[in-house]
Amino acid sequence: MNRDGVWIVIAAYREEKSIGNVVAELKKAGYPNIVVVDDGSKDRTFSMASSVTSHTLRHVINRGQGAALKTGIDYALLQGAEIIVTFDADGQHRVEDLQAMITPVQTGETDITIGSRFLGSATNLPILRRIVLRGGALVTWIMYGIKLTDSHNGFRAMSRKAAEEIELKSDRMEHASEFIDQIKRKKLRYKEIPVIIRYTDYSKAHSSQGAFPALRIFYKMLLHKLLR
Amino acid sequence: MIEPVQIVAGIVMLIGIMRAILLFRSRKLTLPWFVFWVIVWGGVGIVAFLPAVSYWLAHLVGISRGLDLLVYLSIVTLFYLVFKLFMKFETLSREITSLVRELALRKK
Repeated sequence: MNRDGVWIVIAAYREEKSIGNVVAELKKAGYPNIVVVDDGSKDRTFSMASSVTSHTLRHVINRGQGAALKTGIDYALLQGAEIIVTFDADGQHRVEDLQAMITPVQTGETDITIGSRFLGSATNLPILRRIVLRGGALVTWIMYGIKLTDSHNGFRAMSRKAAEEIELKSDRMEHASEFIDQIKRKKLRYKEIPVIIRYTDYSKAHSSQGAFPALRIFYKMLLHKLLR
Repeated sequence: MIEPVQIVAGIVMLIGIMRAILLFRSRKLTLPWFVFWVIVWGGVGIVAFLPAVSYWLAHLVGISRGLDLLVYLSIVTLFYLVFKLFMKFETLSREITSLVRELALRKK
């Protein structure tokens, strides 16, 4: 399968320890186009990323994961990407799952694939996070009418057409919900793909998906829904 | 007989209106906002010097005390201003993000 048109976008904030490995692993697996958007980190994230990929961009100030992903997606589109994948910087996504995510988009079976840790088997998923994520999926279903097993998974693949149509306005974590809202509004086809999430101590410490941020996301979702 | 509170309110009104006029003349205030502030500060003066007006207005809308009406109105106004500020903040935030994004893409 041709991988030249595949662009992998990674938003990185304070990920100097992991970003190098994550990008190197992707390159080793045969994906030449990796975009890293350093979201205003004060550490060495930018230089670490620059040493492994030439497509490194920098936000001069921190604007949040949603904002950084959008910058990366815009850049990939400018570079002529056919398929855009969003991938996490902390090593929680597995390179082995990439092909399964990309293929349905490449063959035109669907516009977007979304990784689901519940269709697959998550390794070492903490119980509180499991409850929060299930709750998030339920809220998403009620608010957007889209039934997903896992609504806040950052692992996605989308066609060029889908990437051009989706408008992400949320800067912070609620972009995941906004993404789903856009799928619904733009009537895009989507498919969930089972993926395995690696919950390492590093990714656990770096993730912001505890119960409190989840409530914040919920509040933001409501707000966006009301103000739209 | 002038009460101390009336003197204070009078000064507040004068300063408020004068500031509004100055800002409007130097075009830092648009006409609708100028009118808004003149009404707010003018209202402060009227209520202070002619308490009967607030009493009459309160009765008009079914509130027994003039002061209560004033408090209710203040709360509503404050909420509205906070909401406006909040919306402005969201807009600003988005504009900053587009700016940061543009910078990031240009440097490439």
